[in-house]
Amino acid sequence: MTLKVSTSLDAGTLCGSNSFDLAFFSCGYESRCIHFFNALHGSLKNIYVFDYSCPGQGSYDQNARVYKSLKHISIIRASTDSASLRAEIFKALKSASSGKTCINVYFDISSSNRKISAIVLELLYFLASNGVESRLTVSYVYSKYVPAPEATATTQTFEPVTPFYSGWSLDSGLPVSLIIGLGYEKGRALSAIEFLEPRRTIAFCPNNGSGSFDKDTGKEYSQIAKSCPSIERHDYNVKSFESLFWSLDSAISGLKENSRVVIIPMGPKLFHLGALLCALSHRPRVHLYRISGGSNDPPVDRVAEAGSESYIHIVVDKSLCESRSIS
Amino acid sequence: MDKATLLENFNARFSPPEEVAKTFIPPHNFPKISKFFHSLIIGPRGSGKTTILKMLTPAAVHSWNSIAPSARGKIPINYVGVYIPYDSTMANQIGNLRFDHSITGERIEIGKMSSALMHGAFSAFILQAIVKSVGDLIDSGRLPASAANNAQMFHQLAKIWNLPGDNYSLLSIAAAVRERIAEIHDVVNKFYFGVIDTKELRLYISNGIFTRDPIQSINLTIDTIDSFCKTKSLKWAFLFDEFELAPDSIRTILISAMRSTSEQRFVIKLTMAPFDSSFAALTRTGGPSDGNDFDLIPLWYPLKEDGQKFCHQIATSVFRQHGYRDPSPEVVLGHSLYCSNRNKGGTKNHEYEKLIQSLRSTDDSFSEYINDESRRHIYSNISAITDDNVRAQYIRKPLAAMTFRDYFLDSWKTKQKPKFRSRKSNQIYSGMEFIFALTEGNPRWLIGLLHNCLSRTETGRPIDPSIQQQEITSLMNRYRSLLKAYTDPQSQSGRGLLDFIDKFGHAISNKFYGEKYTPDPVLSFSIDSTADKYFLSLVSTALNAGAFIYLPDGDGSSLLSSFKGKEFRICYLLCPQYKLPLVSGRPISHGKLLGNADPPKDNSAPVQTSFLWVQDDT
Repeated sequence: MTLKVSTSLDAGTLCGSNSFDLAFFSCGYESRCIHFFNALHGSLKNIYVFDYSCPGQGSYDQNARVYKSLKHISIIRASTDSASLRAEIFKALKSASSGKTCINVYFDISSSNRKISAIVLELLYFLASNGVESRLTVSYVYSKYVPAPEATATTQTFEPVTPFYSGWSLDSGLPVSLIIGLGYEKGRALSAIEFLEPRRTIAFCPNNGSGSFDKDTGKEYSQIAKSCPSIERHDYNVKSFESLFWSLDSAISGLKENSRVVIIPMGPKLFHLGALLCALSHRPRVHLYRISGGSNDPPVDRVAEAGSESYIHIVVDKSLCESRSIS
Repeated sequence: MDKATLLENFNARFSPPEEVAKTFIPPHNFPKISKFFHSLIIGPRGSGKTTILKMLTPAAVHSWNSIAPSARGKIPINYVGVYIPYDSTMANQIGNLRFDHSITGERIEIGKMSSALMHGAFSAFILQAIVKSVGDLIDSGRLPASAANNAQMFHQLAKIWNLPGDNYSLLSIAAAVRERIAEIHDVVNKFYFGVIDTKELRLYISNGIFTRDPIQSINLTIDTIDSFCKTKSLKWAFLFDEFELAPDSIRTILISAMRSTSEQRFVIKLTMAPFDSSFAALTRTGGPSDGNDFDLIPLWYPLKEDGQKFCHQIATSVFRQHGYRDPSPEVVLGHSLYCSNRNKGGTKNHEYEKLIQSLRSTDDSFSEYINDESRRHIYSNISAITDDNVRAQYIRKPLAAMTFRDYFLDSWKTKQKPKFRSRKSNQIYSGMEFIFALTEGNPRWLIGLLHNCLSRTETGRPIDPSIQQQEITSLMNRYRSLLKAYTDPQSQSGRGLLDFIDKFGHAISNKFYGEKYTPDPVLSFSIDSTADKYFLSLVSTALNAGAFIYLPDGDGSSLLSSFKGKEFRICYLLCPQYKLPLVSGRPISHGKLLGNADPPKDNSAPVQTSFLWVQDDT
C-alpha cells in the first residue's frame, strides 16, 4: 500500500490530474454531503451516491434534489442489508474495473457512515488480492463546530465494524489492548473501555485547531482519565493524516505481539479511515469495532468548513494483502 | 500510589495465576468450588469468577501453598486445572464465522458448516490450553522432563487432534495448534473471498476436528498422557471462563456432560453469568442436577449480611498491604450510620430516640404511625423495651426505612409532594457496613474502591467519610458507564438498559419517599407472567450485568431457568442514585411498580435533567 496525502489541492487540480473510473458520494442529512460534489461532478463519470433516505431531516431533501437533478447518477440504498449493500458496491467496482489491472476511485467520506467506508475499503482489498490495483482518492471536509449533545444516546451497536474486520487472534489468553479514537460523545468511550476491560488503553485525541471541539474532546479525555488513570494519551493533528496513520501503525506494531489489539474509531472520520487502513495492513491481527447510538443518535446537520478540505491518495495493491502474515 | 494499581487493574483476567495467588482471598464457598466435582459457578461481572478459576491452576496453587502456608492454609487440590480463557472479543472473533454472504455480497447457504467452524475454533483453543498445561506439569515436575520430547505421545495426541504431520515435541505441537487456529481463519477467508467453494469448505471441515465432541477429545488426550507418562492417578479439571459466550454446540455438550460418574478422571468447572438459556437443560427431569451431578455456586449475596465476612477479610488484607498497623475496617472506614454496636441492646437507645424525634418532626406519616394506639407505648419509651423480638420488630427492622427517610426528607405531609433536604453529599452511604453492602461482595469493586480511597488518605489514618462518599459516587458512575455499553438493538426511542434499570430505581424510590411511612417498604420486585420477550431479555441483561440481583426464596435454587414470579432487587451500588436504603425490603410485582415510574417533583429538590429529583453530586 502506498499512501500520499495532499491538503493543498483544489478541486480543479484534483480532477485535472486524475481520471476517475468511478466516484462515491453520500446523500444524507448533512449539508456537507454535496460540498465536493458541487465542485467536481462536471468532471466525473460513473457517480454512485449512497442514499441514507431520511426525508425531512436536516439538509436531506435539498441534497436529494441536487443529486436527482443529474441523470448520470446511480443510487445505492445505504440502509439495505449488508449483503445487498456489498453486492451493489461490488457491482459498481467490478463494472468500472472490467478488463483493467488498475482503477482510479474517488470517495468522499465526509458524510459516509463508517460501515460503508469499511465495505468500500474491504472490496478494494479484495480486488487487489485478485490483481486489480486501486488508486483511491479520499476527500474529507471538516464541519463547522456543533456542540456535543447533552446526553449521549443509548448504544445500539457495539461490534466489529463488519465481519471482515472482526480480527483473528491465535491465543485467547492474550490481554486486550485498546486504541480508542476519541470523539466528543459524552461517556461513550468510557463505557467501551469498561466493557472490554483492556489491559492497556491508548486514546488518540484529535486536535483540529478549533478551540471548541478540542475543548470538548479534552473534557471527555479528562473524564476518562479520572476513571482510568493509566490511559495513555496521543494527540494527533486531524489535518496531518499521514502522521496519524503512521502513529496508529506504530502503536499497533508495538501492541500486537503481546495482546489482542482492538481499535474503536470514534471522532473525525479521518481517524476511522486511518484505522481501516491499519486494520487492512495488519489484518487479521486487529479487531476493528464500532460503537454507535445508530438511529438513537439525534441527526445533526453538519455544514462544511470551507478551506478545510483534505485529499488522501492511497494505492491499494497486492502488497497490502501480502504485507503481513498471521503466524 | 502507582496509577497502575487502581481499580482498572483489579482484574484477574490478564494476570498470571502466580500473581492472582498473591492477593487471593478465598470466598466462603471456595472449598466447595475446589472439590474434584463438576461445578457451575455463576455470578455477574467482577464477582471473582476468573480469579477463582485461575486459583485452581497448578501455578496458582503452587504459589499459594508456598507463600505463608501456615497462616493461610494450603489449598488441597489433587488435580490439574486447565484454564481455558474466553471473552467478548474472542466470542466476536468466533461468532463472525456465522456469516451468510461472501465479501462481494453473494448469498451463501453454509448451514451447519458455520456451527462446525465455530465449534472447531473453540475446540482448538481448548487444545491450546491443554498443551500449555502439559508444559506447566513438566516444568513443575509432575510429568517427567522427558515427556516434552516424547515423540510417540505427541504423535498420538496429534492423531487425536487431527493435526497433520509427524515427529512432534511439546514445542512443535504447540506451534501446530496455533497453525490450526490460523488455518481456520485462512480457510474461512478463502471461502469468503470466493477462492474455495462450499464443497471444498465442507471437505476441509469433515477432515478437521470440527465436529468432534470435545469430551471425547479430552478423554482420549488424558488416556494418551496417562499411558505414556504412567500417570494413572492424575486427575484433571477443565476450567472454562465466561462460558456463556462459547458457541451453542459446545455449551450444550459440556453442560449436558456435567454428570457425576464413579470413576471420573476429569471434571468440568464452568463460570457463567447468572442467567443463560442453556440452564434449562439443568432444570429438566433427567438432566444433570445440582448436588448430585454438579455443584451450583452463586457468587453473589442476596442478603448483605452474607457477604460481610468476605468483604471484611478483603478490606483487612488491603489495609494491611497499605501499611496499616491496625488494619481493621471498623477503624479505617468507621461504622455506617446506626450500625455500630447494633446488637448490643440498650447502648444505642438514645440514638434511636433521637432518630424517632427527628423523623416525627418532618414526616407526618411516621408521626401518625408511631402514635397509633397499638405502638404508642413502644415508641414513647424505647429504653423500656427489653424483649428482643419486640425490639427487632419495632426498632431494628424498620431502622433502614427510618434512617433514610430522616436523612433525605425535609418534610412529608399528607396530600403534598415530599420535600427533600438539600444535601451536598450523601455521606449516609459511607462507613464499613454500607461500603461492604454497596460493593455486593464483588472483590473487584471493593478492592478498587478501597485503593482509590487510600490513594487520597495519609497512610495509617482513617479514611474520611467525605472521601468515601466521593469514591462511592465515582465507582457508581463508572458502573453506570459500563451499563451504557450494553447494546439494545431494539431501542427505538433512545432508551436502553440503563434507562430500563433507572425506571425500576425511580419507581421504587417514588414508593419509598412518595408514600406513607411503612416499617417494611417495597424495595424489590417480582416479574409478572405478563412480561413479554423483549422485557425479559432486558431483565436478563440487567441480571447478567449485575444491576439486578436475584433473590432466591428460602430454600430455592440460585439457578434461574425462567424469570416469571421470581424476585429481584436493584444492585446496591446503584442505590445512591435513587437515595434508596441498602435492604431488599418487600417485593411488588413489576407491573404494579412501573405503573408508578414518573418521579415526583417537589419545590425544594433540585430538578435534574437526567435523573430528575435525585441530586447529583458529580
